[in-house]
Amino acid sequence: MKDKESKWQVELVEVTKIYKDTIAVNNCNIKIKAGEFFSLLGPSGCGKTTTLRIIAGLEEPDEGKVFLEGRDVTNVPAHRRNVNTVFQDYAIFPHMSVYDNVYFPLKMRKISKKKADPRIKRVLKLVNLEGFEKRYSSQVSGGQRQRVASARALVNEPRVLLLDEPLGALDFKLRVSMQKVLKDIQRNLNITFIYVTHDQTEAITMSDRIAVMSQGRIHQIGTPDEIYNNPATAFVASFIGEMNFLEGLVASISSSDTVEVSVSNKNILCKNNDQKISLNDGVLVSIRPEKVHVNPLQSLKNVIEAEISRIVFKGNNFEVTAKFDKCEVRSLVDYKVWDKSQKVGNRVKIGWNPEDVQVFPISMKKDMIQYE
Amino acid sequence: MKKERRKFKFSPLGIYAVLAYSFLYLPLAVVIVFSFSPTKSIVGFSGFTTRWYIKLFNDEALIAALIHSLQVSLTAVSIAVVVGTSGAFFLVRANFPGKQLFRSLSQLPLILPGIILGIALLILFMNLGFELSMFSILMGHVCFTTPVIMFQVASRLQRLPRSFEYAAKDLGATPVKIFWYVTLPMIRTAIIGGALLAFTMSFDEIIITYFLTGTWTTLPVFIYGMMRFGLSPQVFAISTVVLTFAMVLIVLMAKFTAVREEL
Amino acid sequence: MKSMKELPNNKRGKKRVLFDKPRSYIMGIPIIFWLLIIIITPVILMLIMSFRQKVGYDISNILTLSNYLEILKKPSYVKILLRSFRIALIASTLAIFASYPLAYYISRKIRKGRHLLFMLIIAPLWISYLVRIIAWRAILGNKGLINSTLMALGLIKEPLSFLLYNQFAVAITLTYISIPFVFIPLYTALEKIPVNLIDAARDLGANEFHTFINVILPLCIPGLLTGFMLAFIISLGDYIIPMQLGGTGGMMLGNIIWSQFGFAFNWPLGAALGFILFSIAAVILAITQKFGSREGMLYE
Repeated sequence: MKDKESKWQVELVEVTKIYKDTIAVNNCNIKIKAGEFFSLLGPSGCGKTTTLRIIAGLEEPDEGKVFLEGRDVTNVPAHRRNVNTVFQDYAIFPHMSVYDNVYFPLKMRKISKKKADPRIKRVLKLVNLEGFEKRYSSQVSGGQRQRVASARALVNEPRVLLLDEPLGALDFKLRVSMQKVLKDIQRNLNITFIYVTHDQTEAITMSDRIAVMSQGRIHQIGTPDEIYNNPATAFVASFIGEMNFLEGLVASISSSDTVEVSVSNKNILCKNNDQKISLNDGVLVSIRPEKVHVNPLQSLKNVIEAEISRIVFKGNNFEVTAKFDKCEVRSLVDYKVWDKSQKVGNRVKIGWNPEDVQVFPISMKKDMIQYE
Repeated sequence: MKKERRKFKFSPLGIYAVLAYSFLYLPLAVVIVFSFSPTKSIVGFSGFTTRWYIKLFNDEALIAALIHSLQVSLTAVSIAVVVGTSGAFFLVRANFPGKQLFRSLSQLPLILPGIILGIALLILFMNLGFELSMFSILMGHVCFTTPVIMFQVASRLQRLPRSFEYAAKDLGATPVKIFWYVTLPMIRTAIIGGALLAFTMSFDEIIITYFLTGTWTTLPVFIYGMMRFGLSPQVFAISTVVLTFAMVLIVLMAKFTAVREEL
Repeated sequence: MKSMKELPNNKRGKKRVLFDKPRSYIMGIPIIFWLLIIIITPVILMLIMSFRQKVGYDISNILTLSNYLEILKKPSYVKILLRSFRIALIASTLAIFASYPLAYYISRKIRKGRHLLFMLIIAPLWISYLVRIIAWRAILGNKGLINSTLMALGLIKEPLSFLLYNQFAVAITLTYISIPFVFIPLYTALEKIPVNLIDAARDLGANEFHTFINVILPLCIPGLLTGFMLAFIISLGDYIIPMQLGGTGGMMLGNIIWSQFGFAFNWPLGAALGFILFSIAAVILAITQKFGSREGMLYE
């Protein structure tokens, strides 16, 4: 086991895992810093859980290496790695009490019950389960079981904690409060969290950095802001938040940072976001609804005439869908700004700035999330 | 940097497994081999002969016993299918107090040592004044084949979603039609599987049968009688025949359970 | 599902269930008959018979406890009863030890072909009880496999006669017969242990041995118990194996019971012995119901 000089606490290098004929994890490279809240985000089946299990040591990669704190642990079995996992279905031992469940990892380290007791009590207090020591898993609720699982994984004071959709089974209010609890624990104990989820809101609100995955590949690793405002692929653009997509052809590429795309005979100025595109290529143009202005007051570089096809009241804003030629663009307009006298069928102007537009090769269309 | 995946079947557990399977099947192999040996001992395997099998075919008493076995088993299983299937519906669908007791009592023939059933039934027939004949043996067999089928069917029935039947009723089917066209086909494999199992058990049954047999014997009783005079090669021959027959039934049964798992 | 019960075409206008109660009760008539005639009545009659007494060639109608007293007083009976317990205990324990590693191996280590391997162990159950007994006589006998092989190899001059017609032969044959019965509940219990519990144990620092001791073993105890009890009852009540392989030294409870209905011709005594066996079995079954696993008692 070679020791590497590394500022990264967790590193996956070219990790690949194949099951029968599917590539569950395809050449993934991840670097995580100590103390980070790092999320693996993606739809079901994208390989995020498998990746997590590889880090935990519960699966062996077919190719690639795993490093923990500079040490090559690719061949080290799970019980000898210093990482602990909070499982999706909690995996509480049914034949042991809450206390014994939490004691288990310490027992495996041959720590006597006497010495372990204060640590157990401390971690149970941390997750608000004082008084539950003697109960069994059948006697506690789902949310409480989640906390037992967390306590059990934390009692060893691991430097890295892996969480596999830990809040998936909880109802909304409980989930939100547990998100806060987990985030607090992470920050106060300065533990690195590697968090698997399919819920983008969860990932965006809790993470320092996110790896967006689809079909075994990592599409982008970045901060929530980067993921949201600078999606690297059409998949990321479609998966995160709401997005408008228009199809067109590249009309011109300027040397500065704009690309001109012809969509239905209208030329749209877009940001050149370093995609591999050339003249006359088919492309996807993506704009967030909140960046589309209807009847803008200020001057914008892209303005198109369109007809309102739908107006949906959403509480603190309106979603206005406007059509031009065969294209539909959704716009999110703040309640205070929207002219409520507007009706379906009215002609309006819609506009946006090039910085808010991304361009992707049309070949990425098949990777997008489609919800037809 | 690809990793070699090798499944080590040579782990100690794997070796043990191989030994265990050999232990389980060695006795059967011995029987088969002995049945082809011209002499009683296996040493210096002096030749291969089917002499003993031919002798079997000419043994009228044995053939008669074989036919008797078939008669008893087929009849018993037929009765058991009717009683067991209806019993399964009763167990799963009806609401009555003491269900657990009913369950336990029905399971008794499968769990109690056969000798108890043999004694009890023998005393019953004595009290009723019956002589020991095919009927007594039949009753003995119905005793244990019924729960076999009942529990197989009951377990399948329990897992059956009732929505099919409700849909059929909604579409206008009478209860009889629902039972025949909807419910029955879906439990059919359980009934057949149970019947096959029950048949195998009945055909092979000696423990209870030996108590209830008069002059009318079944095949196992006959074989047991042959054993009284030491183990002649004929015993091995008939044993091999029985063995093979059972294997065939098992394969059939395995096919049925495999199909069931796909449902 | 409540709305499903409110079905159209309901003439009476009341809410009805699909299978009206009377209908499903009718289904119960054959089975209740069966239960009464073939199970309950015979057992009761056996009990009654156990209280009667043999008088010459007849059986008197006076009810008495004399049979039970005779059993408890006669040292030879008690000795055989204890011996039966001992042999049954040994056979069941051996069967557990033999089956457990096998069940563990198949349920934990094998992915493909599990069903086949499982069936291969269960198969002997249906390959004729009698044939398997014949097989063991053929292995242990003077001219059997072991002796013939050893003599052919020149290791012994005379056949080893201690292999057959004693407790050893009975015990080993009973073990052999019991193995499938033990295997089923054991395997089922092991298979049912959720994989995520094993993952959790490994994740928290347990190697294979510790995972086994702390997680797998405690969780399969009900299955172990059921298997053991099943094997015990089967072994305790067997009479054919002791008769075929036990000789005089290997006589068990089954032998004495059998002879009461054979040449000893004392049905009341036989009934009493039978009822004692029945009671022991019933108690063991009750314990198993409470502490054992649900599966394995039925041939699934």
